[in-house]
Amino acid sequence: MLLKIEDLHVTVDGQEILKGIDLEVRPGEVHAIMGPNGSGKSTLSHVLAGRDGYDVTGGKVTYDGKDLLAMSPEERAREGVFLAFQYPVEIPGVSNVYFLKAAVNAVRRARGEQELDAIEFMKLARHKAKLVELDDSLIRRSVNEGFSGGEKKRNEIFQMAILEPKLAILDETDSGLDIDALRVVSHGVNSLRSPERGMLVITHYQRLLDYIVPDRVHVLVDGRVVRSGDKTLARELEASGYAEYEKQRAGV
Amino acid sequence: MTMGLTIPTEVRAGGPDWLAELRRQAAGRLRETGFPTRKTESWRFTSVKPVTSVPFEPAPVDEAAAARWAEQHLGPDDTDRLILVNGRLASGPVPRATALAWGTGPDATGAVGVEGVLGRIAAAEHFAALNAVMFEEVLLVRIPDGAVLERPIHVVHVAAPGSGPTAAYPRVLVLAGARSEAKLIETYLTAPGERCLANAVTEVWVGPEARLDHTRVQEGAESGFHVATLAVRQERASSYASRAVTLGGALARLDLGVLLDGEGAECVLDGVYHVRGADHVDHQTFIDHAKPHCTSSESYRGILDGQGHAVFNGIIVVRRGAQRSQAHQENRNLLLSDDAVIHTKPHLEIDADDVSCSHGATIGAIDEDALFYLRARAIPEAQARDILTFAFVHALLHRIPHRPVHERLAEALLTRLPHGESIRELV
Repeated sequence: MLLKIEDLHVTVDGQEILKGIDLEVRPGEVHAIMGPNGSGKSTLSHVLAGRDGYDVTGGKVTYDGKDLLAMSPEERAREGVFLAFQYPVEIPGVSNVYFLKAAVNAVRRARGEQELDAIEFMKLARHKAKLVELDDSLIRRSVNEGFSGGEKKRNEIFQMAILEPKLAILDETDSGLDIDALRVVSHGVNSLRSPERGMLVITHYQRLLDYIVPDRVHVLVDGRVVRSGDKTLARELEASGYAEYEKQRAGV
Repeated sequence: MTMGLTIPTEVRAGGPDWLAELRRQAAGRLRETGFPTRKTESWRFTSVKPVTSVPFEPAPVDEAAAARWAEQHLGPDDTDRLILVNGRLASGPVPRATALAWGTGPDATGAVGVEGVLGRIAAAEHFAALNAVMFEEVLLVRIPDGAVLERPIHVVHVAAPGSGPTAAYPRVLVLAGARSEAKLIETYLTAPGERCLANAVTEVWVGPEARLDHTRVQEGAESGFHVATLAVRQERASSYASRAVTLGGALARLDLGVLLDGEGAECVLDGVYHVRGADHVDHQTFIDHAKPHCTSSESYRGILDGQGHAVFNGIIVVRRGAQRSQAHQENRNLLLSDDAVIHTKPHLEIDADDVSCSHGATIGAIDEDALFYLRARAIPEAQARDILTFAFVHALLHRIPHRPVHERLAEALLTRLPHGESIRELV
């Protein structure tokens, strides 16, 4: 088992957002987590990546046999967890290239692999940039600075391609993308599917799942997984929407 | 009687009559006002006691050794470099075919155009008055009309200690002739050893349609006291940029004044400061929009760590009749420690009605979103903090036009950050 979430409860500022999540992801599987706004999707992705400000009040998360929640964000990243951000942060003054070289070498050190020198890294970066059609000038610029929405998302997948995570969490990677950018990003993600890698694809819309076809789909409503199924569940939701589930939860 | 920095009763002899008169007036003014106290508005947050309670005196030093130390400290930077030790020219390049000319002492004060300018751009107040009384030599940097200097001029000021607390009174006059274009760098360093006071004054005249880019660096030392005045007067359609970089110091004070004295003049005032430990850094800027159609753009950013203390007091005045003035002022501060202190006061006074002015100040901590982003990419928290700290001021450092200087300063800043070494290749 790559990722095992058991009865996960999380509160933010005293309010319970996740109310008992169970989820298992095996290597090679792509799981989609769908849900309406405010259902807890982003909270789940942030908690898995280790962001501060969330109180885990119950349950546990095991990643690759280890207690994920006991690790710092940087430890998780070194151990192969990757979060593609919904809102990638602009960092003026820090070049994409150097930032990623530091990241990839931190990961390689953790794996006991040789660090890449500048030339090796650039070779790798150029190769991976093609995957998401990221312009060479963008990989040399400051991290995300002045990037369009689509460029930021492509930069996330570019980073993922370089870091080669074991578990990739894609947090609303489709938000703000036009159809062409969506194709490019999805192509990048699909080419990174592998038997060793698990993915959690978090999205509000079914649209993304036309391109990144999941093995499993989970519907998250009000902090709980209310239904799980195969890829056809996403289609069903597209037709019916979340309203039915929300009504059930509200006890209407 | 307390021992300390004394107000001189006699002025230095020598030089032309007008200079003697200038010194007498400055001495008179200083005796009248005394040194500033915490009751003096612009000194509210900076006590001068650490300076005035120490018997700083000019002292003989090994100038050649101090100049060598500075050369080594700075490394090569592809500039025409002059080194002043305690205000006296210790080494400099032979003027080449460039249009640069300079002189010291009587040579400079006797030069054409100096009388009536020296001591007239910087008001003889407090420490500027003390400098006027005490300076030994004037370094004159004259850029002839129409000259375009390819190589930057780099004036390095070394405060070098003698056997006791040592005072130096560096004095520079820059005359940028009409339509000239030049880059000037001034770097103030404190050589290791006993306590030093550098009481510096630089006056800059920017002639009609001239362009001058002036980087001013003060690298602090725990033993270094630095109280300086930089006064600029701009003529019609001239362009002046000041890049003030202040890296710590036991006490580092800069009074920077720019008088926009001709229509269509424009100035840019960039500033970067870093305090840590017990550093105390104080920037007072004053931009005077005296004529119509002038533009000023000021952007100061500070990093505050340890028990460091910084002051930013920025005043912009738009005089009556200075229509179509545009003034923008910003001071942003990154507070890294609960014990660090920043006093910031942006201030606008507008006496004209057709103007476009804005100002603002912020004080904030490291952006948590950015911190998490870096950590989520395997970068350890301590390094991530330093990366974001460095990035906070990077854009301003990057605007320093001469690459070797901006790279050296980036390096100097990195060495001051807790984990700067480990992020060197990142930035």
